[in-house]
Amino acid sequence: MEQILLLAGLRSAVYALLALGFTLLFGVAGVLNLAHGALLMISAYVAFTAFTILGLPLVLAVILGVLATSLVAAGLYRSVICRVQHSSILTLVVTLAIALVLQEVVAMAFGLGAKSLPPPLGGVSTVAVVRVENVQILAFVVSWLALGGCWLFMERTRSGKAIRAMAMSGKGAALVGIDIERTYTATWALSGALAGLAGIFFSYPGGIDPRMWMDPLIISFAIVILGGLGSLPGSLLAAHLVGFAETFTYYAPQVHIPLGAPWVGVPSLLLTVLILLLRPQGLLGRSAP
Amino acid sequence: MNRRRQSRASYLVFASVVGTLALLPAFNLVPKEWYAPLIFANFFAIFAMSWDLLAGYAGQMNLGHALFIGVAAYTSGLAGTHLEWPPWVTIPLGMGTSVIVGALIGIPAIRLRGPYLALVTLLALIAVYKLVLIYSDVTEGISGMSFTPKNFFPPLGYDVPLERVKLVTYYYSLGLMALIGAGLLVIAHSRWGAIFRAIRDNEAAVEASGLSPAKFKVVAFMVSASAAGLAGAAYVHLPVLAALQPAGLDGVLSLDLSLSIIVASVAGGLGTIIGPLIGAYITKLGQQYLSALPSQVEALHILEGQGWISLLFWILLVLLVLFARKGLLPLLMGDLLCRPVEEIQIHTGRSQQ
Amino acid sequence: MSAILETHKISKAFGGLQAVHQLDLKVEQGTIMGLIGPNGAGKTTVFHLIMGTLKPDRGRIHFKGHDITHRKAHQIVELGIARAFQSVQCCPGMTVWENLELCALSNHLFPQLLHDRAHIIHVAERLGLLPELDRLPAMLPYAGLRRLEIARAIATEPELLLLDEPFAGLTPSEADELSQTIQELRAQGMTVVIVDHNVRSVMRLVDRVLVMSFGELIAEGPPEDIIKNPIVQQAYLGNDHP
Repeated sequence: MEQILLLAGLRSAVYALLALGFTLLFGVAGVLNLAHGALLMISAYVAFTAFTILGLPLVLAVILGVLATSLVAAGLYRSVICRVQHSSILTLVVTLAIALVLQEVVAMAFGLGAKSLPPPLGGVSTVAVVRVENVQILAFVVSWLALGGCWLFMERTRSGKAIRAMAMSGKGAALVGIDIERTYTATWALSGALAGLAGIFFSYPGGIDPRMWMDPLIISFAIVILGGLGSLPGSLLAAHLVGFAETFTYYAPQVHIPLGAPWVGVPSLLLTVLILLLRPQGLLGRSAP
Repeated sequence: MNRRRQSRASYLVFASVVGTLALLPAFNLVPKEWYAPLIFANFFAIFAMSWDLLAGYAGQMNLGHALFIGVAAYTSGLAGTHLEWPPWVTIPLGMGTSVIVGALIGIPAIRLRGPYLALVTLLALIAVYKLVLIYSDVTEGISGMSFTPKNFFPPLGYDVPLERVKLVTYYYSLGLMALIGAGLLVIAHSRWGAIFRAIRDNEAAVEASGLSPAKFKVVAFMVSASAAGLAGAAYVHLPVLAALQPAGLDGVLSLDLSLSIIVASVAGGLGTIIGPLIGAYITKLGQQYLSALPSQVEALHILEGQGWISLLFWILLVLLVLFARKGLLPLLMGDLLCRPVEEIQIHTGRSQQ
Repeated sequence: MSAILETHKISKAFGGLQAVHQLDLKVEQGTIMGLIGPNGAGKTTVFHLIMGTLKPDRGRIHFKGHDITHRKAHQIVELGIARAFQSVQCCPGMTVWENLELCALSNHLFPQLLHDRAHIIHVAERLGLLPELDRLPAMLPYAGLRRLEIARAIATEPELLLLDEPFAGLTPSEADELSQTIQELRAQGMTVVIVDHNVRSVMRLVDRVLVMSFGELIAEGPPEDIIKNPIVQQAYLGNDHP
């Protein structure tokens, strides 16, 4: 039980990272990006190719994965999403189609079977009587560093401030001379990079396969909707709630509860649907538009 | 009246499509290997038309239409294989389950609008899909359920000689399509249809007319689910079906099916019933033609398998949404059949002053 | 004469803004009543509260003896109140005929016409929409849209008709025609409430006038008295004079 709690705490940081990119896009552009999960997959597969097939050092492979995802996200925005984002329904249809396009591309290139990316850090440590894999600790540290970095970026840099201004009022931001198109593109790139980083760590434990995008997508939904669409502190809290629920589900067989890996995503689904039905504005945060 | 002319034109086009399909085998125009795709296309047409009534007419964006199909298919299939109930019991049972699921999705639709409703339909589909995988000892999971002749629809299972099975199945599926399609057309051109379109266009105006949008939204969901459910349940009992799969383009509980229904409907023209009908045949038969291509053309051997066809579909969907939202039929026939939906409709909430 | 509609101390606030405060309103059956007041006085909010598109924070609303405070908007229409919006509330994809037919349907699972087609044609004729029946609303001129909006309200066969700024944007001759139509409706027993921010435009038409300012009723009486009322003139100072 202690182990599940600790793992949940570590894993929730990855979930927060995962949801941050998703909620950022929603807050700034009002876009629910159903291809968010597929972006995770891109980074995982790029890192896999760079490391296993091209034989590059793992750190470089990870950086390549994150960069590639960021580029793909920005490219998607410039080529397709910018033409449909005025309509939330069209955006849903198109981003879902894009997720399936990416799934098919990956399946054609790598096959449907699962591949495994070796962890960037091997070994096991003992944290307060509980044994955890080092990669989980690394994931936790990197995720919090990324979350902190993201916060600094939003607070201190010009682009970050522009993104925050856009989230508050698109029209207002345009009036004070913020380049809307550029800011949207930057938000997509940032969202992609966050998804890419989360994608590297999301694949432990378990491997990567072309259908892996669905669970992270469902989990980001749950977190973002639980925390209130577009609310960052709410998302952090929600990430931990969902993180615990999902981690518990995954490790439940260890405490003799008949759940386990196939059930991952079900708690998030239930949470999301319940909240959408009972409190469409989420637990925390501003009401949905 | 304008509308009467439109409905007459719709019935006429529908009758000629059904008539043409009925006459094809009589003139030996169907090669043997095209029977199975045509049978699947008949079902796919029902799926697309029933989706159109809900999304195109009533404006209730359903990203998980496969839920209605899959729930009926699995209910019917499970009752047939595990309880060994005959098809004439399991088909209505599957359809009934689907109608209940339709009502369960329709009730939240009263409160949820636009993207939130679309999300609920999507998540509900994923949830049921996960359940099928989780209980794979009963449902046989991702590999799919297989059936014995005992589960086939009575006129098809026992006495029919094997070479005639396909022909009989073809007419059976075409008959079902004609029946359900005609029913959907009648509803689309009835007062219900008018109310559905009004809900899509302006919910506040419907309220101001003294009509309950909530009630008719649930009606739209239940009608659509009953048509999709009847087809889904009947689909299970086909002798040509190798296995009842949950995933993939031919799976009954898949995102792929949901989205390919949208591809067909948008391609044909939303909010016309006839458009999705024709779109369904074009996409399904196109899929068959393309998947046969690699084995016939030397240079295309690397494209063996279904993956690249799915890829083509999803790219086509993106292109349609970007460049041709009106769809094929309204493009060719103007507003002869129905004023088309300019683009997939959204409700951003009642427009109040 | 008895009151067909009564509100008892209804209040509605939007955030910090008290749009309607403790409003008591009485509409006598078979009369034409004017509800006037400067812009922002809360007149349109009162219509929203009566029609159920907004719910009052406090107070009750009675129509023909029924408490309609918590009824849904479409139920209130079914009971016999209709409202012509200031902005036109029609379905842009449906013809004028279809729009009117929709209003004339009963809210049953299988909707039926409340009367017959002749009745809808009569409503269309009365508002001069006969030549436009097969047109889409977008093809109508502005005055035509206003007539369609009023026709939609009448097609629901109301006993009480609420008109929100019906004369706004009409030419004097169009306004005269509309006044005549409203008087005909009253002659048939319909009760009418007209919201306008200007007394003058409705004074020849209405039997009684209620004046609102800042969410409260400040004066009530026949139009000729209201025009002379110093409190009303005070309320309009800085706006256009009544």
